Amino acid sequence: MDVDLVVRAQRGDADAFTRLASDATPRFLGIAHRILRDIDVAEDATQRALLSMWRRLPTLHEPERFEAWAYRILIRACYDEGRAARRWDPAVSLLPADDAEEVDPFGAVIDRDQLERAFRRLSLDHRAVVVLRHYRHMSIEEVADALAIPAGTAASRLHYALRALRSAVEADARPGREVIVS
Amino acid sequence: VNEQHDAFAHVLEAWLDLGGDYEDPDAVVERVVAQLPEARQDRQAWGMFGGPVMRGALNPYSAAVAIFVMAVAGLWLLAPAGGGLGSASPPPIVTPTASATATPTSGSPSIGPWFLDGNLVPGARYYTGDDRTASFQVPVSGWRVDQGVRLVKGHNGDPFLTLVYLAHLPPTVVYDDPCRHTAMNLPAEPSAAQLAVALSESDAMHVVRPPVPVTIDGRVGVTLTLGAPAATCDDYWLWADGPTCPDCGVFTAEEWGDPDATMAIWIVEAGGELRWLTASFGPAPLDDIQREVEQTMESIDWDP
Repeated sequence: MDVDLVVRAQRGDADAFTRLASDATPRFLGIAHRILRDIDVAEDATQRALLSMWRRLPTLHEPERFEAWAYRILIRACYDEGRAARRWDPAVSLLPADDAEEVDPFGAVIDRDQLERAFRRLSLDHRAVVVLRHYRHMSIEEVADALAIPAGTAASRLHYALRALRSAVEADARPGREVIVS
Repeated sequence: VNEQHDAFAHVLEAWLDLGGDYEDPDAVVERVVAQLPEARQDRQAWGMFGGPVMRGALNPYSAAVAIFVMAVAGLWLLAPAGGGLGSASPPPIVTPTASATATPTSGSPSIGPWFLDGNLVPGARYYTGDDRTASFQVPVSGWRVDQGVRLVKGHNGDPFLTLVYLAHLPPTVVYDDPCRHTAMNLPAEPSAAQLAVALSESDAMHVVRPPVPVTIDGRVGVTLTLGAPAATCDDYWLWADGPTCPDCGVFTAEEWGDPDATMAIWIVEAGGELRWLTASFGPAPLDDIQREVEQTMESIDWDP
């Protein structure tokens, strides 16, 4: 990331911002698509984030922290677009049943659709932390920075997200075993 | 358990990678770039305690340093007025250029747009932006323009100890719950008093001086002073100027900067809209500087 480009964009240099945007957009689209599970909504979120970045760039205190700052804006845009699109119901999640059998669903091939359905049941907070950690391969500290939350919260959020995801996959593999809470 | 976890993480990562790359990211960039001319960047008072250029200058500022910022966003200074107080006449519009360099401004034809430093002599000065030209008085010597949007006055040998910004976008959103980002119910076109009351009643704000009536250029308004907010969460949102999107122009507690800073705000009703001026002070502001701020505010002429 070129700090000089960031500084120039902060001063209103549209060409510099265009170069920053061109570099960031493929990553942004990839993250937004995976969080939102809809390419059209992801595109809207990315556009929203880029415009918000342009507007707010002069308020960025530390140009060298542009990347983490930009991720925060993108994730916020995903939240906003996701809520507007109502593509999921964040009030519904899956918990493991108390009498869950000792099975290893991961020893077998997991159907893509199972993961898709399970992932869509995650809250946006959980989706974001999973995507940043397991798609962008960020460290927990980087995830925390991108989400503007403490590292402990990020780690906890990831733990519960993965647990919920696994439980949802398990429940999906055993119809009738899912527990829906709201 | 760990092996199972690792196996699941491996499966999850493989599944996440399946999404593939978006086919035409350039089209997204092009659509954004096309909107940039209409998407004004935030250059309001919140740059004053930590904007990209000021950081180095502000870090050393600590006790007994007064910092004051008067904000009128999106503006650049123009030529000094030809006459003295009250006799200013608008200068010809000067087209700003990005190649401008630091120039003392005594008698110089222009200052701006954003990158230009220059000393200001006392007297009437013009600023323009948003198809509007206005004037104000530089009350005493020692002020200079910096970045084209702020006035700076040195103190105790530090050239950045006193700062003045020029901006004027009033917020359209005041956050009632700064952590959950829920907005206060403001009228579609609030009066100056309504906006001032909303600011002073928000849980996000620490009111140092409650709203009192004020008059600038014959227009009625309100002034109040806020202290640094006691942020209790990350992304502690105070207000925003986001008419088109809720997180545009968000002013956060983080952007407030120094915990001992205060911000005086003038909200004035003029021409069917609100004008938003701010003056910000670091710890223990000097009386002289506060008086100079008030003189400057009171000297504003929106229809010179």
